[in-house]
Amino acid sequence: MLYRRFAAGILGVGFSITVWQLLSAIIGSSLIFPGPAEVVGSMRILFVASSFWKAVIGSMERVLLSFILSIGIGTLTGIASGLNPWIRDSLAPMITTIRATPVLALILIAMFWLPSTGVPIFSAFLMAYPIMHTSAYTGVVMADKELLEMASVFKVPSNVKFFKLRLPAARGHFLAGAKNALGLCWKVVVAGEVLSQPRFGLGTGLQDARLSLETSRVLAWAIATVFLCGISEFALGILAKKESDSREGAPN
Amino acid sequence: MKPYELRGISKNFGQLEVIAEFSASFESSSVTAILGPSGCGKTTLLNIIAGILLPSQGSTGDFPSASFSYSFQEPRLLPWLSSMENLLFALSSIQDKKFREERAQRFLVHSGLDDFSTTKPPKLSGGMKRRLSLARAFAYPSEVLLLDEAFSAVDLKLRIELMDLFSLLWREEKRTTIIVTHDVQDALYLADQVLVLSSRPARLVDKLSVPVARENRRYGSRELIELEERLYRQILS
Repeated sequence: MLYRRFAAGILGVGFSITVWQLLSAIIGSSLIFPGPAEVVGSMRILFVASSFWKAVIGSMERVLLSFILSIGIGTLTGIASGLNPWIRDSLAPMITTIRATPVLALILIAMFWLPSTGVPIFSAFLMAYPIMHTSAYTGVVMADKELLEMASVFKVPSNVKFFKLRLPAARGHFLAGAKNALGLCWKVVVAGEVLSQPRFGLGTGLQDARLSLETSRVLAWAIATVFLCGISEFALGILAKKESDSREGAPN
Repeated sequence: MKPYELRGISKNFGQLEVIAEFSASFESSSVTAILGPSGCGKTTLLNIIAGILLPSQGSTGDFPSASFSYSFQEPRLLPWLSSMENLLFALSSIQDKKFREERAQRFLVHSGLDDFSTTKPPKLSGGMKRRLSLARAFAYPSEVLLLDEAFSAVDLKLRIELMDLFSLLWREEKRTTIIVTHDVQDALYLADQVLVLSSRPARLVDKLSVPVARENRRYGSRELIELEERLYRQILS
């Protein structure tokens, strides 16, 4: 099963690279569409530069900070909304407004208020916050009605019901939300960096390469971003699976 | 002690009449089986007794002031808690921690699950889950014990094992018990009194006492053949 999935993955990557190479050959301009070999060359140069690693660390810090903020505040307001309809209704207009705001508009507005390093964090937090809020809310309200009924018959106190039933029951929604929020944080942080230009950041690197018309370097930065985003989502997935297995008593 | 009583209970869900004018008396520390065809409204009746549902008409007498244990049709265990933690969860309204833990441990041992105290429900077999659900219902020190088809959907051997476990635990603490079942032999094996319901809307169509002491009964015994025939006739009519 694992071997089949691995082989299919390799085949998919091989097919994409072949199509890429073909398109690049048809277009015939490395400025417009460089081929895989050129991009790999740019990546090799990029990976040995200390500025690249500083950019990676800078972006990772911003992603982590915005992710933690969105998880912390989103979970808090989501749970509160799930438990209290008054809080839910009073927060609903704000959540809807944030959700409907285009990310670029948010970044541009944030640039008036915050320093260049703060813009990506703020924008990513605001984009990921509604996801965490909704996941936590859904997790709380979707708790198994039959288990809640059982807890009521046995007169289980509210605090025990909350910590031992509602919170663990919300785990699945919470982890799915966290995975989406993490991916979004990466995208928005890099977009924010492109516009706000902090000293070190993947988005700053992307913008610099674009301004120097080095398309292969732009693609190298983009591939690095995709790779980092994928790695962090994968790590979160493993953590979530481990946690889920240990809670449900499934073999690790 | 005064018996618990239901008087003229009716229940409608919109236009659908589920229970019609049901009245019955439940002696203290006795086992009553409510017998009826599938879907006739037995669980609804049990939920009305437990206070989960309100009747459309009628009185539930002293039931609202009673405390309940409930063994549901499905085990309803928290999959992320161990067997012991599941019992302690149900007992969490009891202030005395030592009493709570001793009680949980005692009923876990009685139900033969002491070796599985740290095992979580997904790793327990279907029969073990049922036993844990029964142990939880008995561990909670309630006045009234409700069992909703707690022995159904398992093979005959396991069913008899579960019913014997019920009898063992019940002897330990004799509580007013109401069992809902669609199985005539289960009712005759466990109950002191059997109430027979008609198909929907459920009405009381027969009521009988089982004359043989519970400890002397055998499952499917010919001693109770006449009662068995009478009950089958009622259900099939």
